[in-house]
Amino acid sequence: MQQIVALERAVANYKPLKRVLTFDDFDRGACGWLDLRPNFVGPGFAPHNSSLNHLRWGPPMLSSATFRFQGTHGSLDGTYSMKLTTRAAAGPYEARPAPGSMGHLIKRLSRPDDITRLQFEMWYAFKAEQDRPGLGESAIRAFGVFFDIQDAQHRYFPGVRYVNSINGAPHKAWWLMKSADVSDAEWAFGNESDWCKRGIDPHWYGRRYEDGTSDSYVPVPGGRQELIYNETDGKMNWMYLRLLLDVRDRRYVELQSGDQTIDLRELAPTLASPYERIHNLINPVIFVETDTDRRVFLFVDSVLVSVE
Amino acid sequence: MRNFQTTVLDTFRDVSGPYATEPFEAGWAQEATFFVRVHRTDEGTRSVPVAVQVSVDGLSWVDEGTHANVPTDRDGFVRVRHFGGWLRLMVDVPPEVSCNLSIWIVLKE
Repeated sequence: MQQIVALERAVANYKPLKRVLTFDDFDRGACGWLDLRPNFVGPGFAPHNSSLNHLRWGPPMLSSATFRFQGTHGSLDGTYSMKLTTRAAAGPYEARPAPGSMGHLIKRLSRPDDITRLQFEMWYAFKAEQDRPGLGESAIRAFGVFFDIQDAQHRYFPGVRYVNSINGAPHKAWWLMKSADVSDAEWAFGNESDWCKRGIDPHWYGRRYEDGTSDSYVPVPGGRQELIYNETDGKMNWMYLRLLLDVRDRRYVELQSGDQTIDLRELAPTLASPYERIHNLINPVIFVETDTDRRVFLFVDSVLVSVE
Repeated sequence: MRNFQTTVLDTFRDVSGPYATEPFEAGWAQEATFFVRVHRTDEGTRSVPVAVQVSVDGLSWVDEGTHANVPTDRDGFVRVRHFGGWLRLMVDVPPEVSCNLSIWIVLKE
């Protein structure tokens, strides 16, 4: 069968694998991405037992990227991006994530075929709320992306985060999701019956330490990188991120951030036991975290998830 | 088809005293409705005053003029049009009153 394919011009900004599973430009709406919220399955619709308060994360929204002194930025290819937000609340880096200190975005997909490779790409920018004089750069603790994946044998969370600031000090390095050899209770901040076992939801769980290390991440080799924050808290630049995974051997392959591409083939995510009712789940997730009592934002112009 | 979006701004939140929802960008929408559900409150509290606020930048807020007393025994709502780019809801619970409530913003292009 001969196919004639007309791609949106914006796809030229991406490097997809052979099959595009989803290309979401937020000028078209939310495209199936929404807030990551807990499972309201307990008595009185209470969420699962957890050592974290999952009811207070910041709400995502379609944004024109409008700032106090700059007006409207629009997006990379139109007017709207999806803005992940935190509330103006954070604890110390080494504490468990405080209520409201993070914001999330998730799209719920499934394995479309007997695939071997899976790739996440996005164009994005990050800024602090322009609520006080100064740069605001150090208010942004981290942002990241990962997949929640389950196959016949395992559930696992391959992903990366960029740690921008630790307790107000610049850090500026990429970290890879990979769990330390800890117990489930240690993973969940001492909670013996937390819904999340070791390896599950590493963006929230795993103890953190003042030097930037944690039980849920390892450093990306050669992962120090200066991303563009620009000269004020009101000017933003769109940046490119790509994470390539091998889902047959359950390994990392490659991370690309702008002009920097890093070979990750020596590294693998942590494999956990499967959970019920999510066989063949593939969920891309994006998150942002504040470092202080200030809202911070991750603007996502568009996302492309591809497979082969 | 017109774009539509419901976002849960607050879930099971305890409120005593004035409370404002997070700044919300709604520039793409023509119409907005805030829904408020009071799950629990003090005996004798029959309603809670709420007011819509607008902003040029999501930082400095002024009353839009739409307000209501939402009942505590069923869902209440306020709705606005022609609001510019940003919205939030002020919930004016008296300091001596305790409320547990959820708030949604419902937007339509």
